[in-house]
Amino acid sequence: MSILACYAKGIRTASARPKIILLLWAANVLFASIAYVLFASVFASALGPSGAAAGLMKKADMNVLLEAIVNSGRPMGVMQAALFAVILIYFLVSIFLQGGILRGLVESSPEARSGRVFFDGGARYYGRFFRLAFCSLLLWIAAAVVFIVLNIALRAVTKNSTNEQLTFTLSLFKIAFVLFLVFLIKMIMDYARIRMVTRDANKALPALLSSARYVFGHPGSTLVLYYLLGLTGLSILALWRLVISPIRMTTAAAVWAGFFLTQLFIASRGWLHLAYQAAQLVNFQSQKTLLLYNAVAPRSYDPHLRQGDSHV
Amino acid sequence: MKRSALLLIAGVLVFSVSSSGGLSRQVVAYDLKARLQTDTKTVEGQEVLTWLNESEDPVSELQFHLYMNAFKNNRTTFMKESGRTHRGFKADEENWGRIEVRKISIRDGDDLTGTMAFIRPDDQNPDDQTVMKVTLPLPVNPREKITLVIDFATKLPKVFARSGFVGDFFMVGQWFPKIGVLKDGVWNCHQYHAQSEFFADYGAFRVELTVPARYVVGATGKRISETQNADGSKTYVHVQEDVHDFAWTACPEFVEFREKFSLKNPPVETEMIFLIHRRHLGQKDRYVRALRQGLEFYSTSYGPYPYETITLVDPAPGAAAAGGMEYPTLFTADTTSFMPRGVRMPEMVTIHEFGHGYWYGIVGSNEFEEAWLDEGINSYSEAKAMDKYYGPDGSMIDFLGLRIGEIPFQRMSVIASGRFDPIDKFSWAYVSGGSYSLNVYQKASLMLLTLERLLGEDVMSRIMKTYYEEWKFRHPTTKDFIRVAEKVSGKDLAWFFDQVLYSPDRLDYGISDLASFEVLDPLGMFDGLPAKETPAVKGAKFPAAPKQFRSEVVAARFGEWIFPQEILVVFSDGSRVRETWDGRDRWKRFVYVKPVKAVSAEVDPDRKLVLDANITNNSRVIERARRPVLKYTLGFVGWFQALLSLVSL
Ligand SMILES: [Zn+2]
Repeated sequence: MSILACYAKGIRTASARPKIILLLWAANVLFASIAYVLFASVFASALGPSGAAAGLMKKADMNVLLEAIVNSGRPMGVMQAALFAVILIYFLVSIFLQGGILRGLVESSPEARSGRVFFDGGARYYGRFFRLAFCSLLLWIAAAVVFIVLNIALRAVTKNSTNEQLTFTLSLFKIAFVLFLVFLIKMIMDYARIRMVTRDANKALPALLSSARYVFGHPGSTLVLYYLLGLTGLSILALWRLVISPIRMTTAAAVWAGFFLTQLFIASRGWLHLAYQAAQLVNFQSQKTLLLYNAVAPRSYDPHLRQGDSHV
Repeated sequence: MKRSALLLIAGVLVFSVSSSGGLSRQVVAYDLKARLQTDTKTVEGQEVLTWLNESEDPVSELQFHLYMNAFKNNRTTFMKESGRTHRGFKADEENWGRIEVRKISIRDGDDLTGTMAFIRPDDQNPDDQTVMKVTLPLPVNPREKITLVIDFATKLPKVFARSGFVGDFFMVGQWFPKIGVLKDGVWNCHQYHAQSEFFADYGAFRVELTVPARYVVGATGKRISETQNADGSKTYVHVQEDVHDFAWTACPEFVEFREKFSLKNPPVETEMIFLIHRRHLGQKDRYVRALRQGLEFYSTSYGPYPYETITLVDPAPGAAAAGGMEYPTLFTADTTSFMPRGVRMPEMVTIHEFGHGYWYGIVGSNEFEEAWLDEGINSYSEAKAMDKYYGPDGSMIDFLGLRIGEIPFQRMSVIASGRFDPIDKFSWAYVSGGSYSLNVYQKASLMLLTLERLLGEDVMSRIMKTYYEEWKFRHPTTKDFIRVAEKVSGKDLAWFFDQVLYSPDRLDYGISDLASFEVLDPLGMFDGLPAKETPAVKGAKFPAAPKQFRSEVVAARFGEWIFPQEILVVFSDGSRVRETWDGRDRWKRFVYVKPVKAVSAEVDPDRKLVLDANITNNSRVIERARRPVLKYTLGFVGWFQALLSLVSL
């Protein structure tokens, strides 16, 4: 199946699953609500009963805002720590959500879209996805090593250089390279999860390694598909900024309108996430189908795998 | 007669007190020859210095700054105080700097080389060689001059603090033996400290600079000749009177632009010379515009720019440590190739460093001892200029939706500070570099902005103009500034300056309480009325009156400084009451009984006291505004949600 077809299928599948999008959005909002409570209380107590607060609606009075930052060192520190914990817990929860999403995508029975299948998938794959996340440290360490080597090499080039353009370009290159590595690892993780679900594989490390092999074996299709979806995400981001930037947040109505638009954007992130999984699943299955004809079929515990393959 | 003959033999020349360009009293006259050795990063120099004894006493010892020795080793006073780091730039341990005085003699007279000795008037640090003294065989009498001939060589360090080289860029400042200032018969010749700069007497400079021909040169003053030499080098001659220092720069990558600047009122005619590194040409228009603004602002606010030239030096990429530094009629700016337009660092640095041409250059206060007189007054001027030309809301940063003006920026460092040091102090006596800079730059600037709001812009403008006029080409002290401020304003300002200049404490007033409640009808026992009847007669014995509210406002002094306060109380019907309070006690209560409630109270409602360390507590309202909290919280939550959505991918 062509990359474009995988892409289109991913987009179609994601668009047909509003319930999952709603669930992802709700999970996001649930965790973000902790940030709401924390920030509101820190900010409100920084302002106190000050009359200066009222002016902030019309204009960002930097005298007052900078004071709020400078004078709220400790509560902000606490807030930061708490938000870090929130992110960590959200990460653990997102492992569950991954299982649910993938289970729903590979399941072809009429029940595929039911909550039961989703939650069953989340619970069923939680342990192995968690181990997978742990094993991915290997990839992160490898990426860090690559980056450090690159950095040393680049530093040798830019040391004592008076060519700011070169230094600047190399900094941009470094950022791009870091992003590339991050996306690469995320992509390998996606395929590893897909592999574990479609083959009901239990061992995280072998899944990770063979998915890395798979990605390096099919760099064209996997990367193009990933970046095509990434581009879609960037376009949505640009659209969101385009719509939200001109809104002057000086009235409560404008503030709520901005917040509502942000929620649409957050929901679109869930949609995109779903599209990534669906498109990559289709891509993986189409590539594997070709292989399956020539190789010994892997041991499978999942009765749906065959259906999935034939479906492709 | 005999005495004169002796003096002549000694090579001491007697002149009457003269003035040079007619603007300053010429205490020094330097005739310098310098040759830049680009391979060894060395300047070979010869100096002919004529010095006038303006004191009432004969002088038999001369003291010189040898600033470049600050970079000689890791134990100099500069290196110890700075931790070998200046504004975030680290000293390069492979490229030390130093100045070597090879010979010093009286012209046509005694060789004084043998009498040279390093002294450490500030800290007795035996490893510091930034001040040298020489002993004269015969004293220089009051109102007499002496001419010395000095051979020296200056090895430039890799630049990490103002002066030095990077690649083929050379910024040559504080590079020659510079005589100290004889003040009240005592030498004022401090060592080179991490947090201090320069103090010297006015005079005339004539400097011959020889560099390889491919180098583009910029220097203090006006160029009077340019000669191609047979050895492939070029010699530039610059002259300038009425200045107290001379700096120069050379780099083959400079592109030179010259533009005229003219102003009708006050009349100014000067030539702007821009030496812009080839890689920064994209930033040229920012420099040109900012320098024009600086010239216009300082000329109209203080006095017409008096020199024929002003040179802006754009340090090479990698030489930012040379940036942001002032010298007479020449300064270094600072930018990078990709500096976003909304980050107004190049504009701010240009206006600030140009401004030092006034506060340091023309008004020559002692930066070692009272740095606020140049840095503080200049930061105040810079803030006003930046606000004028770029708008007060985004004068500092106006980038990606973030807008910060100079004054909130200056306030931030002050309100975040500890209370360790006052504004007026020897610059090496502060607890830290941070304390030095927040006091002499930001706090001093906020002090003047506060004074301006207290006295009125017109009075302040006259104070600044008078101070400039009275002290140009002289060495004022803090007391002189205060004297001018009091004379022009006609007010005793001791209460203000004594607190702000000399105490490390802070200014913070606010409203500590605001309450409003209904005045109840009388209940209970009152003389002449039986207690039990009271409820029954309610309304009968005390005729029904319209509802009254008792409102109480407590204004409080949270800081140590005592400033008179204005308090504005607003009532629910929109009526306003303005109160005054001498601010002496820790608090003062204001009580109102009115048919309407007080809804808000505010000290310093016109925000005159920009020195106030906490503006948020200045006001209090009965009903808190919740919408702004909602607005900023939802904004924050939106970004947090986006972050979470990245985590899950
Ligand atoms: Zn300065």
